[in-house]
Amino acid sequence: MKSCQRCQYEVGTRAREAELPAAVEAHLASCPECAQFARDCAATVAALAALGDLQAPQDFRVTVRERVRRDCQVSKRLAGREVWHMPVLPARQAYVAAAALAVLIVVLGIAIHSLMPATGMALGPAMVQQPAGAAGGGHTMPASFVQPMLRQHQGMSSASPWHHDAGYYVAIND
Amino acid sequence: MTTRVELSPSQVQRLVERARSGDTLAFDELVSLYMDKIYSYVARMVGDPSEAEDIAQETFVKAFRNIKSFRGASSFQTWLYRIASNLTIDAVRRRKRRENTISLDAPVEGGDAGQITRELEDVTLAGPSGRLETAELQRHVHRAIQELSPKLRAVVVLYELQGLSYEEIAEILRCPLGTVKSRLFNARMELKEKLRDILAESDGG
Ligand SMILES: [Zn+2]
Repeated sequence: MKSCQRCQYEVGTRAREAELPAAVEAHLASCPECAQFARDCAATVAALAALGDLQAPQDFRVTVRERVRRDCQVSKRLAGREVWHMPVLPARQAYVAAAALAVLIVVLGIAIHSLMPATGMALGPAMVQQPAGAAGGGHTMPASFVQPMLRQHQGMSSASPWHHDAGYYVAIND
Repeated sequence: MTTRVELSPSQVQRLVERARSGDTLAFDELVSLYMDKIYSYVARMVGDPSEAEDIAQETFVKAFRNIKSFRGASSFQTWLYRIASNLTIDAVRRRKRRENTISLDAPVEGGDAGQITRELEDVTLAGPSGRLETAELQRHVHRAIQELSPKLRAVVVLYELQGLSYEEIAEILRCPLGTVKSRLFNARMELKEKLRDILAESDGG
């Protein structure tokens, strides 16, 4: 029984090989069951081989050619398009860039402030608390109303740069 | 069947190099060289000729799109078969999902129309045979292959029908040589059982 199993495994795996090991051949000659197994295997392999290659449909090559050409045109269009990419920086450079950007924003902010006209419009709708000693104390009123009054109160000319006042307003806002 | 001119490995390599640099004519030559093999493989794997045509075409389009990534570690043919294999496995999986929702045994609308279509497909896939009884046998063999699991089917088609070596199949399917051999053995045993009666009949008649 064991030799039959061994024989059938050899026959099954070597079904397309021209020669089998001598021991297997000897077993096949003396065992009708394994001989039948070998014939079935040979017939199965022959039936598979008879299927052969199929032919691709007639228009196969033309269709592939068209699809490849279309694909190429799309790639060229994509390659020709201007694409803006975010520069990718290493971590250390990114920190430096972020710090430089922050400094630039602060400097620009100060510069813009210094160039602003001498009206209170710059503070927009922000509500500014009046200094306690100004008028009434503790009331809240629009900055556009307070700023000219404060300049008068502090004896500043209207031409004075606003950034001198900035710290003051921030202080009273706190 | 059209006779294709066999090219030497170095001639194929030259065509691949030209295709890599964007030469679509060279790629067209490669399509002509391998289209029957790839179509055959896919058709035997999926069973349906029109689905096979789509997958085989997609194999070549994908190959052209990715040809720059082909480094020549394996042969161009092996690389093509690998692309076809991946696309085929995806298609088989998709179909399996579909079959889980729609039973194949459900009656086809329009009477026997579905059955006739299936028969026609079988005839188309039975190969270039002149004799009717041979065509009948080939339909049975084709159906028996379809009943194998995709893993066994791939090995048996590549080895028995396409004539590839164990080594090439191992590269295509990315599995050890021993696995290829044991799958081939199991596939042969299953097919032997499925075809026993029809083969005995054709042998006796
Ligand atoms: Zn025996």
